[in-house]
Amino acid sequence: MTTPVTMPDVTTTPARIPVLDQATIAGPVHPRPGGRVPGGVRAGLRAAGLVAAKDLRLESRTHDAVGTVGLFALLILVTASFALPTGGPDRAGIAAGTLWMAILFASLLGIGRTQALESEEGCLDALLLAPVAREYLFLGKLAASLLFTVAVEMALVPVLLLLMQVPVGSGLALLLAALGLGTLGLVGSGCLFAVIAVRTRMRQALLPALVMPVAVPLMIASVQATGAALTGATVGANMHWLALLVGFDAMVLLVAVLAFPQLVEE
Amino acid sequence: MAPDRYPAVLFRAVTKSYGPVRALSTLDLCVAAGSFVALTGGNGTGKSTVLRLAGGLSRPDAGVVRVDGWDPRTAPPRLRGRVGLLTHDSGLYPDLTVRENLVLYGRLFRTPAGAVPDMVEALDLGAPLNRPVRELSRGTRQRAALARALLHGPDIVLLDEPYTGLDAGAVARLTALLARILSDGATIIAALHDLTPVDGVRTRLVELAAGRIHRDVPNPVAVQVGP
Amino acid sequence: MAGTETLAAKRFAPAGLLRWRRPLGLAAAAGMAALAVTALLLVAPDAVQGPPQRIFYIHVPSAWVGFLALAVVFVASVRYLVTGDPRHDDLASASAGLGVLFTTGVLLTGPLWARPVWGAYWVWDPRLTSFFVLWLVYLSYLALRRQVTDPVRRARYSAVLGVLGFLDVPIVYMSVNWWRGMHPEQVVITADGPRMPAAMLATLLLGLAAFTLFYLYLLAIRLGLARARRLAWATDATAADMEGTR
Repeated sequence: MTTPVTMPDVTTTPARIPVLDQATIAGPVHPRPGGRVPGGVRAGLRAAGLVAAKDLRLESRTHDAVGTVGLFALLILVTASFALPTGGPDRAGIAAGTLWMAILFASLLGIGRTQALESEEGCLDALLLAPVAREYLFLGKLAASLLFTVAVEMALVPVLLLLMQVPVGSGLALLLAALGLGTLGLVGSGCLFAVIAVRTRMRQALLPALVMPVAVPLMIASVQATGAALTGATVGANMHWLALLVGFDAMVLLVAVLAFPQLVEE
Repeated sequence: MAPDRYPAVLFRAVTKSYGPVRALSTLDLCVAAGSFVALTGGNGTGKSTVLRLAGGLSRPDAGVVRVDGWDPRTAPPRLRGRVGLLTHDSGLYPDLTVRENLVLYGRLFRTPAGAVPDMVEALDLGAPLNRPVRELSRGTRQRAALARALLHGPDIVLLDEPYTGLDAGAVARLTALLARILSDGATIIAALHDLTPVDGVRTRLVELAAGRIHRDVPNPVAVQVGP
Repeated sequence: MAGTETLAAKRFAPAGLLRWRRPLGLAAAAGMAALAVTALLLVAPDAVQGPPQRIFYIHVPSAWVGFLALAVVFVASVRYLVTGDPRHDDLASASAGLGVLFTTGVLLTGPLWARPVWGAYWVWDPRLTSFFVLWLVYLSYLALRRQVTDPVRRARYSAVLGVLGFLDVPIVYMSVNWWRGMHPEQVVITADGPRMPAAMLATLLLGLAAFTLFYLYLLAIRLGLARARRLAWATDATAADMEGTR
């Protein structure tokens, strides 16, 4: 236990005034050499882990990202089963499309909301002061959002299979690959554009308008691959879709990591 | 410039606009290490902008900003971990408790083990420690925010209206804490509307008007100590 | 004051592309007139598709220019992100609006051509659908620009979208192509050289030239406007600034 703070008598102690000489005031302003920003990969990943853990803890407190968003996704599925024909010859395709629509809207809702919260209280600014390369802060955020979206999907997919009367069988590997790669690209573009969206007039409501056009190829590939998986197709027969997803993911993540430090500056 | 003679904060011809509003106009400011600068001026005169630029959260449209010789935006960890900034926002996650917030920032800024308890003690945060920030009163939240900003023992301290919402006891605690930090060799720049809490501690008064320096005086009751 | 008037005149003086706008305008007008005459009257209609095929001479050049405009946005966006020079942002915003304009032209002429030839207005053909997606990306680019008032942040955010949107184009095309495929076989360029009759090819090339000149003319004007707007903004800020110090 530390000793209580004693309060110095500030009214009578004269303050020391440090003085700068003219040479320093008017001198050159080349920045000191010191190399580029922070601590190396280990420190960065550690920081990313702290940020992700913080998001997980927040989620355990509020249940917004998985609970409320998951409910929203579920309702999209349920409404779709009322609105669209189920059990027909096309049911794999319809199920795939419905699933990805639900994932799209639900994940963008969640990501937009968490980014807005981060900005509202100046928390993002406080994080930016940390002695860590800013890209790792983005990675931490991305990791947490991925976990939340995957958690929602794990609940969503069984419900989907049930409501739409679709078996999975031999297409499981393809289904998992499509879900994994598609979610990565979707969450990646969501997190990237969320940083931009919260700084606009419409704030996070603009997020879908920014993500959806760019994410069209991702949606096409994910839905096609998922639809194929639900008819029992194999990974081998659908490599082109998976390859496209890998390409899209790489592009989005590269741009996101490069642009994030610039985007968070005022 | 000899390596140990860099000014703590240097603004050279800094201009910054936010949309149509010009916050700073070719501002020149040089703050020696170890000073306590009270930054005053009416609303919208650029005080918050000065602090954000020094903290590396914004980029000037023109001119240079140097903190201990480095550009705060691209500085190595040697600098980044030494700057503490409190803006208008608290920087605290509303749904986490005070302790959880402080522990998070403590780990992120790699503070030593005793830093959080020290800060809790200094700002009397023992009582609200395990309550979510969302539930705290204005003054308590401000004290928690100050704790967050000062947790990692920064030696360049940038505070935007730190006394907002604090009661008399908290004001005294904060002033004492700032005096302690100052005597440990830190440099403090605080944007203030009311100068009375810091009258005995500050070493310089800089008043801004329309994005420029209007008045710049050392503390009149202080003894000038030169090289 | 005489000094500031000269200064203002200097700052707003046309530069670069803008100086060429009159010759470009004349050349574009001449080119478009020549194209109209050639495409409608001089060249023979396609044996199989008949008169509606003439839309080809507007459709393909629009697509070419639409794509060119978007490529210009990409290059300008990258240069802005690297240098921070606002002139690149002027170019990006000027070209993006034109990209939307010409891509809209593609989307309007495509169905007009598709209906008589394929029997339906919209057939999810890969090239047309890719243009549709591109159109959407650049609409969101314009929407984003309208949402941000601070010029520096507006430029930065739209530059990121400009880069990502353009890099997306080949991925969009591949995805749509594998999803549906019904565009008429590549008529113009094949491994053996152009397969069109010489007259049609010549008309097409005329169309490409005329549309490109038209694009450059419009770009010059829009660039001048963007630049003037930016300088006026900066001048206003400076005047207000001087106000404050009196």
